Amino acid sequence: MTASEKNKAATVVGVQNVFGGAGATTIVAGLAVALCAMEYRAIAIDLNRDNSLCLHFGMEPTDTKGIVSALRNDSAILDITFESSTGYPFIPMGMMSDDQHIIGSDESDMSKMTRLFAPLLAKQERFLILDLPAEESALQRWAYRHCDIVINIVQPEPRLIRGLTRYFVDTLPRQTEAKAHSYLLLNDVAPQVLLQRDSMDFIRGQITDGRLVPLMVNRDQHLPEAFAQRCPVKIYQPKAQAVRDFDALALWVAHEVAELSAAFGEEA
Amino acid sequence: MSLIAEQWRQARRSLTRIRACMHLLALYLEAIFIHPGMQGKARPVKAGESDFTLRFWFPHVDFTRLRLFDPIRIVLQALWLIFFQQEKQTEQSLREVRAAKAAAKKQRRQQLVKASKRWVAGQFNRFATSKATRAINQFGDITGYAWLDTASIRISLTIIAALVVAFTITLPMDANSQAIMLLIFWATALWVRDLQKRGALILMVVLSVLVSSRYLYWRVTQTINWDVPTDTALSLLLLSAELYAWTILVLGYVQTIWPLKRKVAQLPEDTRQWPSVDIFIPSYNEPLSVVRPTVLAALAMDWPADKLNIYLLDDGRRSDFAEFAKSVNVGYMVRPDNSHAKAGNLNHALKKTTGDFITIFDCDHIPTRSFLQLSMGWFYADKDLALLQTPHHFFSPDPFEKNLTIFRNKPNEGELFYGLIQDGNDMWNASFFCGSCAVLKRGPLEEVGGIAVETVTEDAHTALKLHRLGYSSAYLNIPQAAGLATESLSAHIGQRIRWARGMAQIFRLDNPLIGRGLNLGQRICYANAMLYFLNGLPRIIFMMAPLAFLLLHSYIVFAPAIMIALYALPHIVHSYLTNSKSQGRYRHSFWAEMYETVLAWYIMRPTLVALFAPKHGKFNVTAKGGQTPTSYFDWEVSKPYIILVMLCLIGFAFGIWRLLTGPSDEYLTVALNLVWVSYNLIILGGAVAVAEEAKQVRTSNRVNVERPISVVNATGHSFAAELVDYSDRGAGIRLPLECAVTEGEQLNLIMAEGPSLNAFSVTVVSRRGDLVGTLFTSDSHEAQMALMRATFSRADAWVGWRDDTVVDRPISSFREVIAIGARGYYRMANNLMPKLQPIFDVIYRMGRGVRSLLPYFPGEKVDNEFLRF
Repeated sequence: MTASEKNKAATVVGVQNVFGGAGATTIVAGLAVALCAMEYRAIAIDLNRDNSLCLHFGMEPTDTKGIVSALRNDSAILDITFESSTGYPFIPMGMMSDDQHIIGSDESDMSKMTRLFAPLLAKQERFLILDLPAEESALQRWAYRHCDIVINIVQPEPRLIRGLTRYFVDTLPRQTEAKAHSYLLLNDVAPQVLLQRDSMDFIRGQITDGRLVPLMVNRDQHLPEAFAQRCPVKIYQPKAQAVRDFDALALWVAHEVAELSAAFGEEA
Repeated sequence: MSLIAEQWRQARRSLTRIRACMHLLALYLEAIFIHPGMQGKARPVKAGESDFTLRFWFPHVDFTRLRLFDPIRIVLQALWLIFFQQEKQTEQSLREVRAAKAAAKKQRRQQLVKASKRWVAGQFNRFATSKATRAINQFGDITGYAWLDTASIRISLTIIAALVVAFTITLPMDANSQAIMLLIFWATALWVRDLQKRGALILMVVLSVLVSSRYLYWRVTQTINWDVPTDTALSLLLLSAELYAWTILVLGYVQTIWPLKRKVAQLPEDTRQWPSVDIFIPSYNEPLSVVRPTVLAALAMDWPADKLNIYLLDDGRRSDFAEFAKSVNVGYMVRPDNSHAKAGNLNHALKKTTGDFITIFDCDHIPTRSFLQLSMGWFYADKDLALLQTPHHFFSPDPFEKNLTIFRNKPNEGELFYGLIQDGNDMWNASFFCGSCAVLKRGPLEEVGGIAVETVTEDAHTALKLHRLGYSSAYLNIPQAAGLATESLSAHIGQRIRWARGMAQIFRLDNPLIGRGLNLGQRICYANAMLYFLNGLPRIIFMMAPLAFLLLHSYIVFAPAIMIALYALPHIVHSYLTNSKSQGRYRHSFWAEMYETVLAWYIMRPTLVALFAPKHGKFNVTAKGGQTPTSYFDWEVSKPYIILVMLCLIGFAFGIWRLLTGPSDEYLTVALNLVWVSYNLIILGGAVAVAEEAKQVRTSNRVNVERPISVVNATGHSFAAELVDYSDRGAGIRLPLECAVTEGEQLNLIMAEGPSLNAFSVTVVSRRGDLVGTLFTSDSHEAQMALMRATFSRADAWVGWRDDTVVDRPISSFREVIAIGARGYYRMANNLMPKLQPIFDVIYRMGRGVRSLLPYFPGEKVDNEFLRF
């Protein structure tokens, strides 16, 4: 895999919202499941305080184990790696009811994070899909340092204007500085809605340098229904368009990673 | 011995004595003939594989359960494999062949031949083939010989070559020497036939020209009987037909020897420098439903809007056309009269417009959005370019494909012209205008006085005039527009008659062989194009030729039958082999014969009239877009062929009678003529088969695709679906059963349109399993244009429709044509005398029974109900 200068062997893909509620968590779940179906070993990892990624995989809402508890109790990563009933692995963020200390607010936690994730990062042929926090923090910086690719999720609606400005001014430079390749992905696309079509045309006019991922994830009512059932949409309705979109995204990610490591190999 | 005993015991465990005997016999036969692994390269035979391998080489025989006629089948197949084995080019084997080196294939073929004769000498085998394969692989590679390319060497080589050719053609030989020389030529042609190097094709062309010229020389000098007047007359008639065929053959080789395969040229980066283009869409009596998609697709073309002017030229002066043009904001032109039909229409519009370039589309040819961007670049690269032509692609089947149900699994009739001939013409700067899907420069067009009006094929004549003034033309072999093919056989023939008449008129009025302005290559290409259409009379002569001897006992070829065989057979074989190599992807052998036979009778009279009285002849418009509610047999059209068939059958009967009662030294001659008559009957059968018009109920022609789309229903659920077919009115989708739809329900189809997605609302019309029929409900012109861009106007809509993997193999083609001929006769007989159908059924089934005895290609899938006997 990517034997990059980042001192790791696994491939790390980060997914982040450009503005709130753009759908990064859903994308992380779908992408990890699609990569697993393609016989890659992909693990979805939640770095968001909401801790909602695990619900996609069927975890009980009352179960609060996760990274938080692992850091608190100094456990190993395997103790917090769970598997859905259909065999998809994931690592929840976890919650502590009496915890005033927010993970990622200072740098001292980050060395603990590195120690916790070290065994996973050292494994070859693993895809780690991270659900990144949207706000700048030590955790986000830590994650950027380890990411090969960051996919920024945006929806074709009026909020994208502010979101894009913030992305280009602030987020993109930070991701690039951390040596992560940054991309934009359109989510919840509904071409039958006129406003959506206009927004899509606008965004395609604005972003022309290959930063836009060449596919889109369609709006699909199957996604919230699958979430309500707490199972991946691939299990809930295999014929849904969302499943096909996630498969395409997984193919693109695999291809992009292969190209980047080939390019890196040439430079080195 | 113990090995045999062991195998016997094993076989006896599951088979009876007799069966076990046959099984072991088969095993050993296979070991000896097919696995010459005795030389030390024995492949380890896995359990059960021996059965499979025999199954591969004898696909119609099941060795574990031999049937009554199987010994005959085995013997015939073995002989076939040893002497004639050719590989059937199924898609898979073709890919394997391309992937593996030619050496492996050659090695297997040679092993089979040598092993059955001298399988002990395997070592010598390997040594010889390795040398041969090296020579084969390097053949035609001339990069090392570039130093020979100077004028003096070229001239001297040409003179030497001309002398050698003249010597070869005129050298008199006795039968044995002729036979040996021709066997060598034949072997050489077969040897280089599968190479993909250009040198191989040129070598085969040279051999074919030598053999055919030699044949013709012999015919002219030695085979005319000057003593008997009838014989002389008939002989000269046949000779003129053969001379014509030879001319077309040689000119055709020259025309297509090096297809240019032009690539797209770049336009300037700055779109402000792009020229203005006028799009003319002429129409006369076609319904608006046919013309509307073309206009909308033209509007959707990717070209700066201020530089694109679209004009609908309506010779029918219809009000609904005027309203439509106004509603979509395109130009609408009428003129007071309809003189000179389409040419006059275009010239009238030419005077009233000002664009730098003119693009012409027939009213049913829907262009893709990329048409202009792909074509205009060449006008910058070549300042003298006056015309760029693109292929006419058809998304509906032509009458041959429809009536013979071969749509999309065989090249159609127009493929040869647009796929190869125009490309070959391009090399000689002789590609001509075909009336539609082309771009013309205004200056040169006005210089020649607009579109030519003196003949009915105004397009080719205009191009000829442009070439005479020194302008060049180009052909871009990428289908960028698609239209409707002719609906019925009679319409098809009507169209071809018009072309034939026009070409003959041009030949008379503006002969390309004389007159100034053309170079030699252009003269040859134009002459060939025109002479091709004169093939009516020669073909009829060829059809009737064997009857001269069989019915009238007239020796039209005054030579011993053996000499005829030795001269004529190689001439035929070489021309088939060479044409198969050069045209194989665009037309399959023997199908050409059939297409031309169907048209021959009808083209004969108009072309002869046009040749001698060129000013006569009306312009008939071909009908497009109708309905044929039931199948029917087009008696009107097939009458001449039925007469010919009757004559040939009478001739055949006479031939049998002569065999039985005539002098014995005539046997070979009678046999030869009988073979010729049988061949004619087979081809005529194919022509008759086309006359049975297949049903066509849909008025809107559907295009088949397999494209992933998504479908969103009213509750917001989106399903992954496939677009199976579309027309301008509706679409067929494959929808998962999990998505429940009811008739009349509205859905949204999400299709890719370029890099983005677009939604089209449809109404469900029917559902059968997972196939759903829908009708488009978007009414606005914007929505319809978006629909065009997502379907017909996609830049890649027609790319990849030419199936490259279906390569021509003459023997396969011949078998197919025989099958079609048999079916044609069966159907014709049924239509003629329906009460006798049971008898015809029996005859047909007997034919199938005989077929089941004959050899099959190895690995072929066999499906014959008589294999159980």
